[in-house]
Amino acid sequence: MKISKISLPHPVLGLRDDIEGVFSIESHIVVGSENVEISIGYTLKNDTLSGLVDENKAILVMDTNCANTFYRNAFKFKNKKKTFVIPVEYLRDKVEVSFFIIAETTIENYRPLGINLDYGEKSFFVSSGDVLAYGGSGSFIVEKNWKRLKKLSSFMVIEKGDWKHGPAKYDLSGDRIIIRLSDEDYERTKDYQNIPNIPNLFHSGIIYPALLYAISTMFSEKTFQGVNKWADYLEETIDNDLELKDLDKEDSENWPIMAQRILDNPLNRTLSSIGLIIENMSEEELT
Amino acid sequence: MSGQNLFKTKYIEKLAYKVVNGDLSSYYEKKSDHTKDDLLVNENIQIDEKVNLKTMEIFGDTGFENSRIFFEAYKSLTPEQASDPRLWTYLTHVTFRKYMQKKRLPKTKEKKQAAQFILQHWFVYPLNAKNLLRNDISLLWWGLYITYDPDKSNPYELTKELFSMQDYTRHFQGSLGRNRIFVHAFLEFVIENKDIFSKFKEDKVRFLMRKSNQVGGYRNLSCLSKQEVKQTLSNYKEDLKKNKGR
Repeated sequence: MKISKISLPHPVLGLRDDIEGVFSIESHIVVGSENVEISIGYTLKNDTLSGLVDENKAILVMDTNCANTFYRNAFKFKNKKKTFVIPVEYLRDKVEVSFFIIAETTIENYRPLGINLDYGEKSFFVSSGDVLAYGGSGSFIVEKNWKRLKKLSSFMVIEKGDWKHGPAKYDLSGDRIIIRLSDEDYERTKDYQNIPNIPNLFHSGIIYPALLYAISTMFSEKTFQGVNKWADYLEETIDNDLELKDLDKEDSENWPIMAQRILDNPLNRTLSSIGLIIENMSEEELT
Repeated sequence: MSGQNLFKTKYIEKLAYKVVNGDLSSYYEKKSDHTKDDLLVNENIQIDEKVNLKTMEIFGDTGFENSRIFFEAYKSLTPEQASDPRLWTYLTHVTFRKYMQKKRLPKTKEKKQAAQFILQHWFVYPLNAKNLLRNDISLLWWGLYITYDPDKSNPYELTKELFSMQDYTRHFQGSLGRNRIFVHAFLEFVIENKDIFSKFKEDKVRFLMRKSNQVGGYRNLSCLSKQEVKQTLSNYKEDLKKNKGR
């Protein structure tokens, strides 16, 4: 459940300015070959909620959700530090985790300290399971072969199209971004791919435009995440990149920056490769 | 016993491309046109039974029986293995080709719709929960996996209810469908209130799911017990009796 953009029938700590205080989570996730270990620490600064947790009337929850394997589990906890272990055989690709404090029982006249003045004198009736605090959401990717995850080919591939000449076409409908080249262009790509310094030129000429197209389509249409694996991989890469994670995904000016960063500055590498090619050319060839 | 064949991703992408471009001719052929180069073998999946599926209907009693037969043979699959599009696409196109051809060849002549129909039922493309419940062979495994309840005197009671109505598979594609306790409580609620659901069942189930999704917006249903979920559903009994679900 993602609740950051809706209004709930009662005030929730961590949603806008409903309640004064802090509920934040620090997590460390290790994806191993057998298990995923999620270690959590939390900060809770609100006397009403701390009191409810101490009295077992409320509890912390890590809601874990993997759409591809129908896995959903709500781990309840109270300890300041806790590690949860999930066998990887229950997970594939994107796993979402959200953190809450929920009511463990019915609470009549719920009126937490620090409640926004806009609520006036009102108090609330809260049932078991109702969300009292929201500590944020995140996601990670479970890929058995983690080295593959780092490879572009895990979410992008070049294929031969069924037309002789003409422009490349991009297909975003599957789990990988497919770049289809005309028969002629595809064959030439194959012929050139083993020549030193040439593959770097492919990054600028073939891969970069496709990646930019994919990123711009994904952030403008917002229908690919959670449906197509390539979109989850790209979003995960962006969210975990120190230089990209704070960029506004809805700002189109950031999309070329993201694509270039993911490809490790293809323009620079292309120019370097051209430099090396020139260095190896004879003077006669250059004139 | 030998390892399970899978289609290579590249081959699946090729197949899907042909379908999207309206070339469905191969689906009427007796055999799949793949070559050895298009296959991978997963040695971790060892299936020793020949599975014969009944071809009367996809859902209903036949669907339920097929689900039991299929799951029994493939019960060693882990959820991770069972969410591999390469497995399900191979099974629909090769192992259960006859079954698929009997039940899942498009009847429409409208090219786009026909292609969509093939993509939905013969592929898991792309991989997501919705498509796992649309691929007709994957549905048999996942339908049982999410409903099997070993604590019941009849552990398949909920599976039977799931296959009684195709609509359920649409409702359980979302995040509530991943919540095992919710799915079990929901199906049990329908079974235990036969009188309410004897008429306009589809409409009423849809109404109840809509209400559940609303409640799930502010209450973490994953944290509730089966009894608590059923109690939440009971709040709508009067509305259901008044046919408000229609």
